[in-house]
Amino acid sequence: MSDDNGNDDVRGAFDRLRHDAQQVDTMAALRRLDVSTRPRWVGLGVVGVAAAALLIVVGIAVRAGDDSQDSVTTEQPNPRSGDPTPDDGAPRPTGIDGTAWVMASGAGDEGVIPIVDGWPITISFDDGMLGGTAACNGYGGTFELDGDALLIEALSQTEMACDGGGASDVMRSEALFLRALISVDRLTIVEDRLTLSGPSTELVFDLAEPVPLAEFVGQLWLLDTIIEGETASTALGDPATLQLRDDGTLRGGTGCREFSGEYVTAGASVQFTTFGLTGDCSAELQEQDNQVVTVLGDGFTVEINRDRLTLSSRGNEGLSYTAIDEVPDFEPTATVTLEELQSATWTFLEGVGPDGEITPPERFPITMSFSDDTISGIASCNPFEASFELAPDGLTTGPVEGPQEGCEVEEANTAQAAFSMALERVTTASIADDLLVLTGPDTDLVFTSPTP
Amino acid sequence: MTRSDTDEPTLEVVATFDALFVTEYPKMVALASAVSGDRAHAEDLAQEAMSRLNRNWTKVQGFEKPGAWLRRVTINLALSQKRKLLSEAKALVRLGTAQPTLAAAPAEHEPVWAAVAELPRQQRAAVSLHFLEDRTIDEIADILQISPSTARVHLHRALKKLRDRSEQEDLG
Repeated sequence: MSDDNGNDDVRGAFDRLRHDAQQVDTMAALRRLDVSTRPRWVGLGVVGVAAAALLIVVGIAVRAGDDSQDSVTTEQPNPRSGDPTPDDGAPRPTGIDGTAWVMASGAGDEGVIPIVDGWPITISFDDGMLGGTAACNGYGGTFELDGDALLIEALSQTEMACDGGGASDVMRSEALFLRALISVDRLTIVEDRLTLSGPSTELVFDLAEPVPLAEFVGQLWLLDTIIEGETASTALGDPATLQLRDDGTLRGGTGCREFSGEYVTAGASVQFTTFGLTGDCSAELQEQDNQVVTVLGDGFTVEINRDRLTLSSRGNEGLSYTAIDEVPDFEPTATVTLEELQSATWTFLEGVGPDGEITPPERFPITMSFSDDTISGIASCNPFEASFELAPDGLTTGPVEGPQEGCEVEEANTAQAAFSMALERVTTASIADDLLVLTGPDTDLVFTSPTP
Repeated sequence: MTRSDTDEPTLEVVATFDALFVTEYPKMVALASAVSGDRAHAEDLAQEAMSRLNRNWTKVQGFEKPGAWLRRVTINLALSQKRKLLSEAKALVRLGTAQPTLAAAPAEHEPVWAAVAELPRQQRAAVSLHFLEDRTIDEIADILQISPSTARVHLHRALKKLRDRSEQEDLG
């Protein structure tokens, strides 16, 4: 690509990076993937991990209940094995599967576990896996349930630090909870109350409200309020929508960037499994963008009251939406004005047409300028003219006319023909900074306005 | 723009996850490093991206272009402003007590990386895919889920800024 000219040092840096990356320990990374997705048994009994603000528990097997019972190892479904579903004969917990809970009170070896407002401790169970939010961080592990005897193993957690007011309480809540969870060996459910208990531990949970999927999914929502703790502010920028579809995909906007992705419901919360963002934000909208991405990206609980949707994430961060019927002008329109088109002589930078890439030779550029109804310029080899019409929804062009004298450089003739064909297919025009982009079916032409 | 003739097996043709991991992981390390500007955590990010691929393998392997999915996840992780996801990746890596093995950038390349780090996010992603993987405009558009013309503009601007910087340094 001709744009690379003058970027030899950049290419050199990227080449070196690519080379260095080839030297990393790939096999060790592959083995780590095993550790993180397959439970390991390293022994029986309770194994504590040194108290630390951030706790990582690896492969710890806590044998639950009666020691005379045989332990059963379960292999979690792992795509690397090629088995879509496990069929190892291991007992699967019943009744608890698919449930989600919020801790109401708890105490462990070190006393009462504080619950900090806005930083709930949650747990959910699904297909041999348990996990949730431990105030600040997410955690997860595997479990087996035999009667009321509970075996939790392979616990791991994320290890971000949560900042803001009361951070130390949040981290303390988390540390005490996770240390208590390690010692749990019994699970009982009475009505809507779950109790996890161990020799000196009792963690009591209330049944969490399930995600109101029927009302939430499919509906189009428009962001109007950003909630940060006690503060609520009005959403700015472009209409920031959110729509989850029942096929597991989602789309929306932050006010300056658009996103799409996929989601799952995990217990009482919704998690985005992929989350792709496009666009750039002005400084003014950066904070809002960040807030939207944080709430949606971290996972959130859903509350719907009539046409109002409230998404809540950790630390009392949230987003409030109203139900709408259609996206209000989601795509920017009227991307170009006649004045902008007439503001410069445009030089073709690069592009494709129905015949493929258009590549005028170096000394035979394509240039053009706009009058009120005509585009005129040089199409690499010969001058040309074409009528055009600017409408709110795009720009259309008429036939390209002009002499057809051959140039001595064959590439110029080829470029002229390809460009003429492409220009006639143009249906939209947009200008961003110094670039004019004309597009149409199989056509994409980029022009630059040389700096005066 | 032409595609390199020396392409290694791509995600589109590799059949098993292990083989795919070995092929793709170093590429994701490079991509994560270039886009995040953070060599020290590039392996964490790549590990997390591969972990997500693993978790979603049943679904992703049926995609027409799973490679685009993996790159999109890696880029999103690398661009994640608050780096919370990075912490998640780090936790997984800690399970294996891994130390970063990606070499530090040579001193003479530091100005280049500083300039890349100053590019807007989409431009950084586009230029990284361009230089690291010789991706075409259409492929960059596919990966970033933007239109080809937008991808073209992002790439053009990034290259221009990098070139302008280089010229200014030469003059200076």
